[in-house]
Amino acid sequence: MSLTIQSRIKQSQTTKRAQWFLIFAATIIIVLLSGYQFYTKGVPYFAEKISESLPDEIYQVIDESSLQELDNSEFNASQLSISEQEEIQALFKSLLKGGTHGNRGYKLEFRQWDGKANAMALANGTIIITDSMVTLSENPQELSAVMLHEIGHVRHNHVMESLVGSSIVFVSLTIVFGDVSAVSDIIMQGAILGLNRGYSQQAEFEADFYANEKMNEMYGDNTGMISIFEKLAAETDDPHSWLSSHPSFEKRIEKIKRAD
Amino acid sequence: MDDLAFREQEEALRNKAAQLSSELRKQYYQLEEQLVKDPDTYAVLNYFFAAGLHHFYLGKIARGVVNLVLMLIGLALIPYHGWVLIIFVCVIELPQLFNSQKIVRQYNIDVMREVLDELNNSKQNQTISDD
Repeated sequence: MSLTIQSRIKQSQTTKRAQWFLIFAATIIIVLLSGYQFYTKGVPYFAEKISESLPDEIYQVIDESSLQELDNSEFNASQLSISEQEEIQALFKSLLKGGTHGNRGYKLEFRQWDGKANAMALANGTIIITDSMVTLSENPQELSAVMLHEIGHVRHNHVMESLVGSSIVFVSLTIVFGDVSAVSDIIMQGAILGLNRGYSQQAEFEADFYANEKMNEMYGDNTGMISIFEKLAAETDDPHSWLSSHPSFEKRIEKIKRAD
Repeated sequence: MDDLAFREQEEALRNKAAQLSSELRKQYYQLEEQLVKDPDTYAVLNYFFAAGLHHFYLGKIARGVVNLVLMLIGLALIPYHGWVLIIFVCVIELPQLFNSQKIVRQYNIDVMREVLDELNNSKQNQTISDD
């Protein structure tokens, strides 16, 4: 075989390798960048848009079934007296006055949850506050701060957006990985955990800012909010980690103070 | 160019290759195996992100890099209407997806014609040096 042809074959093999290297490198870059953009920008955007377009009946059904599920698994009936409950309900109604919190079906529920001082919001505006949280709050301002924080979650539609976001990740990864269950399960769990962690921390700050703004409007300051956060920080035994769904109370207090 | 014209060109190349000596014909087919491209691979690389991968496959590195860079800018600027750039690249590249058979066939014909010329030249050079 002539030298020209031999060198031509060698040259074409080298070129081929270089071309495939470029193709693989470009594919990896494009897949990583588009995956990142979809995960960080696309999912929250679509979650917000889809959540907004869902009918109220779905919110209502999710609220009812979630509360029923929690009652069956986690919660016990409240031990607060009727007069105490009525007093807090009146405070809750006063917070809703003016109709600036959107058009969800707000209602307040009292429960016991293993003696934990906690409160939570469901998608359609059901807010659950534990007996220990009521006991921990020494004045209406502190209780208002807790309830306004939960109203903030409902106002920003955090619960539904988180549910829809997780569903989008689940569906997308199923489309990409199909039925390769072991790999897709690991990636899916990791992605949903990461999404919820990041989303949840951001949601907490948004709800804090919302409550802070309303506290300033109602009481002229946010001392009630800071004091209840300080008490909750002292109550929390769990060390804060990067995997926590909530930011640390110290960080939240610092952000609220900085916002004023 | 229609299918008939491609067939004619390919037939002409086959005839020319048949006229080569057995040694040169062997070399021709060895080179053909190395150099020809597959239209299906080209099409898959084209619709896969339209990011210039099909240009890399045909060795059009500069055009591939332009596509890739535009695509990356579009992706990076998604929140600032970067998707317009992505759609623009897709619109530009989409016709090539539908013409992938023709594009790759033409590429293969051009490359093999070049190889034939090269082999014929080397044959002539060989004859002159023998004389």
